[in-house]
Amino acid sequence: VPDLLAHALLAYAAARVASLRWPWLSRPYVTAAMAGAFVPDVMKVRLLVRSWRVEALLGVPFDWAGLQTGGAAVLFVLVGAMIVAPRVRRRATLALGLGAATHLLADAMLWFPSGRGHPLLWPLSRWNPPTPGLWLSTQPYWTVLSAGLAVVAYWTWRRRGGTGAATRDWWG
Amino acid sequence: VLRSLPARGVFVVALLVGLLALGVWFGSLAPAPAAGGYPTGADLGADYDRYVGDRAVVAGSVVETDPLVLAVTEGGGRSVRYRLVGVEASHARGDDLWAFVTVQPDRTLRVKRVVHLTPAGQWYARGISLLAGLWILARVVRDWRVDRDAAGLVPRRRAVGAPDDGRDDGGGGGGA
Repeated sequence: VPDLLAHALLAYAAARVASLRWPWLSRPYVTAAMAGAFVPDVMKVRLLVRSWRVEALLGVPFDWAGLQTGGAAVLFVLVGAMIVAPRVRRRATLALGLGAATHLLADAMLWFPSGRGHPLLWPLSRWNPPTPGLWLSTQPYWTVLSAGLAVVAYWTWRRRGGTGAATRDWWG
Repeated sequence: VLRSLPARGVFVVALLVGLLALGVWFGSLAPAPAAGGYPTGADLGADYDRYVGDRAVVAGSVVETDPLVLAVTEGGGRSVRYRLVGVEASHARGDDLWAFVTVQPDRTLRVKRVVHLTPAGQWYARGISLLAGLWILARVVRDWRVDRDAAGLVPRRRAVGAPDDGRDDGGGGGGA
């Protein structure tokens, strides 16, 4: 897992670039994409409450890793879809999904000792994709690269007159 | 569909139950090494002998350095000690290691690839993640509000052409 800042910046960059094509992706939806990128990291509660403690509580096997999967991301995004007002649901859901997707894809680039990442498609498939192993989450390279991408996305958006495009449809 | 607050509430509860179910389901899965889902420390702790000869992924802390012994937390929260062989770098007690290993008899793990998760690196990742979480939260609060009539979050309305319109402070990375 790269650190959350890297995920937030990557989601920002992806959403900003997407907003050039889809002007409705105004600032609130860029924020929604960033929130979507946070979602798979809910898993981090494992640092506080280990899987075996949940097992002891439930009396059945439990593994937080099941929540760092594509299937769990879909459920998390749907929770977000229920929290927003129905009239902005479609756009908010797309933005949240975009953010969650950037998170899962970035995680699939990380270094794992086995060379295999999280099961991205579970529960459809148990396949753990091979990872290029770029960096560890405890190294800042990802964050620096993501910040660079975010800056490029921001400036591209500004140069293309993004301000007007974003305000015209502020309501979503 | 799912426009009324009660209906949405019920669906959210169903989704949360679904997430819990995914955790339980995942926890009950046997390792799938052919798909890249290698056995973990919890699997080895439950039935070590079954995995002798297989590859596994373990994480733990160094408790002895000569020979190198790793304490790995197993399913019940207890830690099990394994001897690590094939590690070239020297490690100090308390080092957190994350390793891809071949399981050998007598609680011995032959290391194929290993990484030392330094305390500084782990604190860096936690600290910066916390900041990022606060940044996202601040943006959500600033950009969204509760609409009581619609019973949900909606983007905040800003006057078109207002100075802050379309400005976006998220590009610099210095925001967190």
